[in-house]
Amino acid sequence: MKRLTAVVAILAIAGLGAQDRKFKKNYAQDGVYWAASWEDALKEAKERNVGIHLAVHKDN
Amino acid sequence: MESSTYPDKKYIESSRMWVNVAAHSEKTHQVDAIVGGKQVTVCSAYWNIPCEAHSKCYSAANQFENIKGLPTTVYTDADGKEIGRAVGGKSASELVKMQKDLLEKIPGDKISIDEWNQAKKMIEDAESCFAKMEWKKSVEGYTRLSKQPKKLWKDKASEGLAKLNEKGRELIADAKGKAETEKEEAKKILKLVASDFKPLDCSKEAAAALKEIPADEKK
Repeated sequence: MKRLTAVVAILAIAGLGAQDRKFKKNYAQDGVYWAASWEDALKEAKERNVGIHLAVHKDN
Repeated sequence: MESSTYPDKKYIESSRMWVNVAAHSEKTHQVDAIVGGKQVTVCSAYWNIPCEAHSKCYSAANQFENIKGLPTTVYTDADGKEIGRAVGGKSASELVKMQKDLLEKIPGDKISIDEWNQAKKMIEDAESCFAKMEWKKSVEGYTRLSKQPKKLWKDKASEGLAKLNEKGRELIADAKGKAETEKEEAKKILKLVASDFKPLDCSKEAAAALKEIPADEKK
């Protein structure tokens, strides 16, 4: 019974998480291409012979 | 900067000559959205990546000394060595000017992200045709790539065409092995290589091999 309760609770939380995520209308269709990782960025920078722009930020 | 500098059209244009990395640990900006006709889960602050990506990149900042005030913008050369830095919020025009000046510190031929994406798509398409044994389309794809002005693309095209030539020769060897026992099948393979692998060397070799197979005796 406890196990079932735990599973239901996890599913409910997961469901709430998905519902909480907003759908953003008018999301920009163009923008700055951001790399998926630093390693990918280094590899791509070498192949393209361009520099890397690292933007370090924090939430307000 | 996420809501003013990065979405600025002039800044977006300038960013095309850089590889951009957002280092931001918090994952509080995730939204669902439609991008390029597909529904995706993306960050609302950094275009078209999930929050997971910019959060993962946060540790990259550790390799640069004295990053204290945020936001901080670090510029590196193609090897990841720092060549410039800006501390505090910057406008699009300030960063565009800085990027223009710093780009001159990186010598040699550079490839913009648009050209990069376009050429990568050409390579993917040519490779996909190769995997599906659509030889003619694959040859055409790599031939188009070879006409791009940059050496990098010419080299990638040469690699692709060499691989196709090798494949054509494998097919010729296969056909020659069948020439005695399965003459019609051998002819079919050689005709395919002669036509679909043009203008590669293997195409000419297939045409020559086809002539060596004796015609059936008339009854």
